[in-house]
Amino acid sequence: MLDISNLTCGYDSGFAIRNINLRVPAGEIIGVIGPNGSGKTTLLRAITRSLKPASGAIRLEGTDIRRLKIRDLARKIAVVSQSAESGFMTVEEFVLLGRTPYYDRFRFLETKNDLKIARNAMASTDVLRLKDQIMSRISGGERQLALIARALAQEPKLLLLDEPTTYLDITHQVGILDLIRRLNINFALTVIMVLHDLNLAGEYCHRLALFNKGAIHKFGLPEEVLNYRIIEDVYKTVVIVEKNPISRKPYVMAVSEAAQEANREHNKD
Amino acid sequence: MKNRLAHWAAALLILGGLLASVGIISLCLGPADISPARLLPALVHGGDTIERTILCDVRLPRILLGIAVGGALSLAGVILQGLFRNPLVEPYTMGISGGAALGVCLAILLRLGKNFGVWSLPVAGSIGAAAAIFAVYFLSIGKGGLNIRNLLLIGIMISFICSSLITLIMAISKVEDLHGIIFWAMGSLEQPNPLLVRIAVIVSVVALGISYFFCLELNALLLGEEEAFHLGINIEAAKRLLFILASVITGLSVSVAGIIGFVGLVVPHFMRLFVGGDHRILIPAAWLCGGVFLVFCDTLARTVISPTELPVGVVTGLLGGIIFVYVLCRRPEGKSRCSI
Repeated sequence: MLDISNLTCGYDSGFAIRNINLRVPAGEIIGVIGPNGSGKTTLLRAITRSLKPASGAIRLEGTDIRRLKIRDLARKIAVVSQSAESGFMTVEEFVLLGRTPYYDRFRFLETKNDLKIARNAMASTDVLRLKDQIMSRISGGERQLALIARALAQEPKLLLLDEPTTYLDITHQVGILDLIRRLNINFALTVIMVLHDLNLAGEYCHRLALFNKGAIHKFGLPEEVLNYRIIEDVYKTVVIVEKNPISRKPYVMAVSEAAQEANREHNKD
Repeated sequence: MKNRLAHWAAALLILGGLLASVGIISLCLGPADISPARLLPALVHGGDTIERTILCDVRLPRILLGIAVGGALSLAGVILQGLFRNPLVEPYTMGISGGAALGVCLAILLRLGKNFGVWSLPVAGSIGAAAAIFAVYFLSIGKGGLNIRNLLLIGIMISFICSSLITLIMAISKVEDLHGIIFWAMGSLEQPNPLLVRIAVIVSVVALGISYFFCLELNALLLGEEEAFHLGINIEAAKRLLFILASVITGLSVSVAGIIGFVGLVVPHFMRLFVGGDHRILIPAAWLCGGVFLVFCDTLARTVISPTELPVGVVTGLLGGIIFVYVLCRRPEGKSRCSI
């Protein structure tokens, strides 16, 4: 599906991700994790062509993305980012903007088909009931759903999400990720998402790519990546990794300094 | 969706009707009042009567120029506010009017009018505007393309530099030149050259047509540049073309009619409240409304204390300022930042 080879890509400030090799199989959910400033968002920006690679290539279904027109790329890859401004528009108008890559030069109005696709996208993300609400007046969780609806209206094959659960409570976090899982199954949508929460990443993603200092430290199944040695090495934090008793997926617990201290005292005695 | 189309059509019909009525009222009013009933006969088979001459050679060109300039300035305002996602930007923020004014001041100071006749001021204005546009444009092209924030700051700086130079010129120029400069700077739709009126009308209408092809780009830009890019918009090309288009129509308006303030700032805001932020309706609505507003202000300017004529820039400034404050104060909560 997506094939990244020897990618080096960065900013003028000097930060760059280096020699990234990543194969994303079709139909999988890939979680991108890693400490702040390790290059997770930079990877997403390279895939959307917002950043030009210094070397290496990104291929989407065998085609180098640099050879695609921006509009054609937008028909295949949709992005749910944190930076989106929503302006003073209704949820429906906002979701309809997702149809932008499908307009012709000489067509200014959306067709019935565009409207149908937008409605379907809103229905599958449960924001159809909000369609006439103003974007700036709905809650953070609903806003996130509307963003996903807009991305779905693009009818993409690959969905990129940048920290889709930040600022949300646990109900909405789980709600969003369950939704992404459903979309992944129902529409055979390949998903790459940047997540901060290691446990949610382990629970929902087929594979994880752990970034550290601009490079991929480890890529593999959640059980392989969420290993306490690897996590302690990358995050410089003492953790314990156990198994979720129901899903059998790994989950990571941080251990506070005080608790470590107390534990050492206890072991001494 | 049908509902929305009906809304849009209604808005355009209302604005079109307003434009027609303001135009007819403006045709009738003046030092020699002509009653509306005699308008049509005078126009159709008036022959060489005085009435016909007043209508066709004095009032009609003025109304046409008002529509063209008002429409062009409002259009430039919509485009620039959309491009910068900043509600305080207007065509004159970008240093374009400053450049044009500087050109005209130099032309008056150097008495180019004696050698080149009526063309000297508009041509000098265009050259000044073009120089300002190029300076702003090339200074704000960064490594990654057109940097919108730099563009705004450099535009404001160029404005300041130009206005300082104009003050300098005024300080060293003679009294009779001073009057010419000041009167020009306040703006007037009285344009004796019919060819210039024709050019202004054509450019304004063509610009309306071209900008309409970018309504989807402008809509997507409401979400921010990177988001628009994710939606498949070639933002660099769109930004460049829209900036140049807005600059050209502003430069032309300033060259032909002087500095007429507030139209480009107030009309887009007013229309956003009326028809919403969707550029597919906002662009034509703002163009029409700009024409209505400027023709209305000009009619006031030349009739209020007739036979003395007020500078139209004074009327638009006063009226526009009052409308702007009123609109800002009665704006519903939460709408203030987001309407753009």
